[in-house]
Amino acid sequence: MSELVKQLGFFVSAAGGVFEGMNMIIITGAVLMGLVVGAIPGLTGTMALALLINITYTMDTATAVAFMLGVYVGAVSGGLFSAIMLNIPGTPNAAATALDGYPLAKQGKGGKALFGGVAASCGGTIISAILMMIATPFIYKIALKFGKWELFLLAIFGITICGNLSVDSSPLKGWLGGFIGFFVAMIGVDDIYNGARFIFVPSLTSGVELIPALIGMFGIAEVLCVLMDKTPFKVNAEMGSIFPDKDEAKQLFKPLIRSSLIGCGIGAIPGAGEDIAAWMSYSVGRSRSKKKELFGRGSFEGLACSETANNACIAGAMIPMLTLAIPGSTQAAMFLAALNLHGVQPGPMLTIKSPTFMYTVGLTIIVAAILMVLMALVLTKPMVHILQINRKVLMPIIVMLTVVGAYASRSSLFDIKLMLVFGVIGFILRKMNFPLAPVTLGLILGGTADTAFRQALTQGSMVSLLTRPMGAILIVVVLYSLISGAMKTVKSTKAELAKASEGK
Amino acid sequence: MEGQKKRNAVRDLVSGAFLVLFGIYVIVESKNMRVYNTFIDAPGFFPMIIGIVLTGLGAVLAYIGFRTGGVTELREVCSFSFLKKFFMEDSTIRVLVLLAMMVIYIYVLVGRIHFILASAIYLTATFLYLKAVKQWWLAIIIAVVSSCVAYYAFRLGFGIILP
Repeated sequence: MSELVKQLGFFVSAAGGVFEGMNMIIITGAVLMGLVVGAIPGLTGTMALALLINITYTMDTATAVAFMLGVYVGAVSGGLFSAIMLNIPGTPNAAATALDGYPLAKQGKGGKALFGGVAASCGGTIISAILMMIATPFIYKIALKFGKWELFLLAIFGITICGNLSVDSSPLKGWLGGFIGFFVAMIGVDDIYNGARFIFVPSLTSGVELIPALIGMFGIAEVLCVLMDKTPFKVNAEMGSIFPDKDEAKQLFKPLIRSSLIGCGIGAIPGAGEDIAAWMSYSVGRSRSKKKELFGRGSFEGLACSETANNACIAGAMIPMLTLAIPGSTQAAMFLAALNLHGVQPGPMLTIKSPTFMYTVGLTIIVAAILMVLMALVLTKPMVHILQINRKVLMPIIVMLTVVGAYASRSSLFDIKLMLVFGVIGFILRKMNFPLAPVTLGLILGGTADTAFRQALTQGSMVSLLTRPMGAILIVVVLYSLISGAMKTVKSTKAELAKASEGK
Repeated sequence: MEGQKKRNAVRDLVSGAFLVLFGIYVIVESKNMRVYNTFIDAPGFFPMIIGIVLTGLGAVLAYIGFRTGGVTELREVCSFSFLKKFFMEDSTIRVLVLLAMMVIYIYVLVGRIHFILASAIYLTATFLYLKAVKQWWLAIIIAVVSSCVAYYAFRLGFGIILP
């Protein structure tokens, strides 16, 4: 009971900060920025967050958190505008949305689909933020008992599960991506002895700066990929009214709880991300629906399934990030980088050092979601014009902004050069079909994995882990993710070999 | 679809082989790193494990590429006619030119001349190359205005002085 009262006190204290006038203005502006960025095909939420991290450098921590979360929430939803009106998902997580959103727009219900999608996104965000605020204190309690072995296993679990989930068939490239990220994290002097490792140029002595690397991988690589093709965009769908009727609204809110739970759960798995949540929720929704024949032909229920789940992922991804410093998605990784820039260290100790922080995050996400619906009322129609923005003008300007973003935090020209190098690496990895989420996770978790592993080895053998419940659970889940991934690889290789021999 | 599968086989073979070589490099470098106390807590211990994993998984990837027809396709990909076709493709040329422009902007212009001038030159050149706008003078105006807006917005709004 006393614990509940204590948590309520933290909640009220956090609410006082979130509902401050200036904070609300910042969130409003950030949500608007996120919606616009997410709506433009080729500009992803991850890219926006990567570019904006350094802008928050001059802000105080509370403002920076409000700003980044506002952009995050807006950008995840923004993808639905181009998915519905152009049949081109603005962000990868809106791909499932296009399946029903575009047919609805072709039927003259584009406005209803857009507003309904934003409303479903809002519902999913709020429910998952509430779940996050309920679940996180319990996870903190478990995380506080973690030793070095547990930290190491968590990092390995993050890489393996992220590798398993970020590719469709074999997780091999996902795992390799994670270990490439681990390698990059090894560059510089080590944390225990200050021993030099892979210092190719003197500027790398302190290691690879996370923010320029992320800006390169998600900014420059994205710009090159977008400008590679010449797809012109043309809105050939009908807008109509923006308010769904009673029956349509009923369909929109039908999958709310189920899709929110799916989204929040998937979001909490490291690296799984919004797109997996949206597809899984869509697939479950179709199998449970009484009107499954409408799925893919313009179903409000189908639209709500994907939109609710992809936004519910936001708060879900915050759970492992806040408690274990393991981001649940690439956007959450950007948020983690921003927090590091402000000296906030997520992880088990955060609940002791800053007990209100988790509630600030949860409440900011809820406020951003509500503001997003209000903005959608006004912006739905004008937003269609933004979709047709000339990307050949926009993308070079984005390159200029990546330069600013990479330079800003340390005023270092080397960081700009490093950013370009990572841009090229990111582009090559994408062209070679390597997912970037495990690389990002490896980059973030590499230092922890290295130090925790070496310290754990010197403190005692891994057998001691089996006597601790969390340790034993972690060993089982790591083994499970490795074995299931290996089996998936064998299966997909056999299928490919069979196809190759058929071709001969 | 079949073409895509074959290209995937080449990608797997080439990236797998590269990762095997890279993994071996990481192992050798890690082995040569200084040992302060024991090897298991030395700076080179974890990188060595990373190298071993990269080599092992890279070998599996290369093997998959090899078994799914990567070698035959690689011969085709390395042929003069294919390479000529590849380098003459619109998308390849566009990426190479855009990348060259970025390299010049970042490695040559930024830091040597004022940010506004460097960015305006880069943006104008890129707009003109991409034929982003119909009139050349419009390209210059957009480039100069966006460079100035970025510079002063960051300087006045966020206190960040750009190079």
